[in-house]
Amino acid sequence: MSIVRVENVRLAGLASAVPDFVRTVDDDVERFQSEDFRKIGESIGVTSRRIAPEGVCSSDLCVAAAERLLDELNWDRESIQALLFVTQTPDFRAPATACTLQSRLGLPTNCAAMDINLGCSGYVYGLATAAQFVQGMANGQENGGRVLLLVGDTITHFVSPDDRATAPLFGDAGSATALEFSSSAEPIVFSLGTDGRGLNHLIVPAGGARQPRTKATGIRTVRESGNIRSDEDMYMNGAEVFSFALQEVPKMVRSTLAEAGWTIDEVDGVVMHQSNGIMLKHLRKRLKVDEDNFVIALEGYGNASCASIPLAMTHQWAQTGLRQKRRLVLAGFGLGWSWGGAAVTCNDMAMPELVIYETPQGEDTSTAIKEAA
Amino acid sequence: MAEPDFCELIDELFELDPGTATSLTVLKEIPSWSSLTFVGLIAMIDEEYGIALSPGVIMSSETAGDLEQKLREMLSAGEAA
Repeated sequence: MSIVRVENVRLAGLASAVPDFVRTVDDDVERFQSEDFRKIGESIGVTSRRIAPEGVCSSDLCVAAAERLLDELNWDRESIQALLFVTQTPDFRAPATACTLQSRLGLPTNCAAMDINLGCSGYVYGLATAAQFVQGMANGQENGGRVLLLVGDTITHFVSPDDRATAPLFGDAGSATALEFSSSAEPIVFSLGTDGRGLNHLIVPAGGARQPRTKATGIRTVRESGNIRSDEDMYMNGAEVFSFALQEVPKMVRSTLAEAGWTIDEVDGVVMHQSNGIMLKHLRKRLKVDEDNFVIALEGYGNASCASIPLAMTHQWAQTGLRQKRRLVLAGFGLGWSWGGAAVTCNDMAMPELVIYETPQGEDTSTAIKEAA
Repeated sequence: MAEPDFCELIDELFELDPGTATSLTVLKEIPSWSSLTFVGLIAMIDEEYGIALSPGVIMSSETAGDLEQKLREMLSAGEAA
């Protein structure tokens, strides 16, 4: 695994936002005409989830989170030197959504902006990139080199409502994390890896340059186990994802801990990508993490792709805050296969309440209402 | 460590009456076989045997006995290594 060690960078704050539409297990029972979905919902730990209506983008959720965070931090927007946007669901095929976000958030034109295309591991990769930007840009100046890291997905827009492997599981969310230079910050350690041989088990096959969109790729047909989906929808082989996670996640967490010089008992919180309840419970046992220190935030949200780690942090700490020093281990894994672990010491970190994004009037919400009905 | 009884574990995982599963039980014909119990089976094997199994190994095992045999081979290969 590649180890990245970054000194003198602090996480100043984090905010998360979810859309105001909810879909529940009752909707699944009706849609699939099967009571089995109650049991499935219980097993995966998701009996309701947040859904962005058509027209609401991951960038919109991230802007809502960023506005809330910037208010809380009282940061001068002119002081922000870079904006990174991690997503699988950009506004456009081109240009990078980060460019639109620089302008929407009123950031200065000397601000660097770029997209990072990663899913479940994206928050950790985003942090690793952002932290190095801070270090490179701050010039040793206290509170300098400010970076805004926006991480969000409306992954349900890639999910067929008639695919039982994915429909009951996924939800939408956006987040904003603020980083800056601080000479008193503890080092952050990242442990990153990739195995592209697994890419076909979790993929949206069509719509890119490899398999362009055609009439045929958009047609939903009956696939394995009676699941109905098109080639523009996400395919997930849950058993393969699980097997991959079992092989790589414990190794990654151990490597992250070893590089940080921590034992698992010295960690105040483990926040994994919120894949599903079965997997998280198993990984917790396997790594012998105390239940109180292991964050599970699936219920009410669903698996929110790259935004799941920050969303889980908001869920866990927005009430109490992360003002006192806490050692956290973050673990992202999935899509790619791509994985990243981080050992971060949070201190005096702003943690506003979860933002509920209100869908603007006049936005086309017909899909969401139709699906929910 | 005491050797776990594979068929008992299968009964428990698939919520069968104790003593139902035998080495001749065809995995995919167990009534509660689903993508979720499939994942549960991978988790159970990891927990009980310490083997993170590839789904292909289960897919290519017709009966509980076939799968148990493969696990034993993996365990003894692991011990030899």
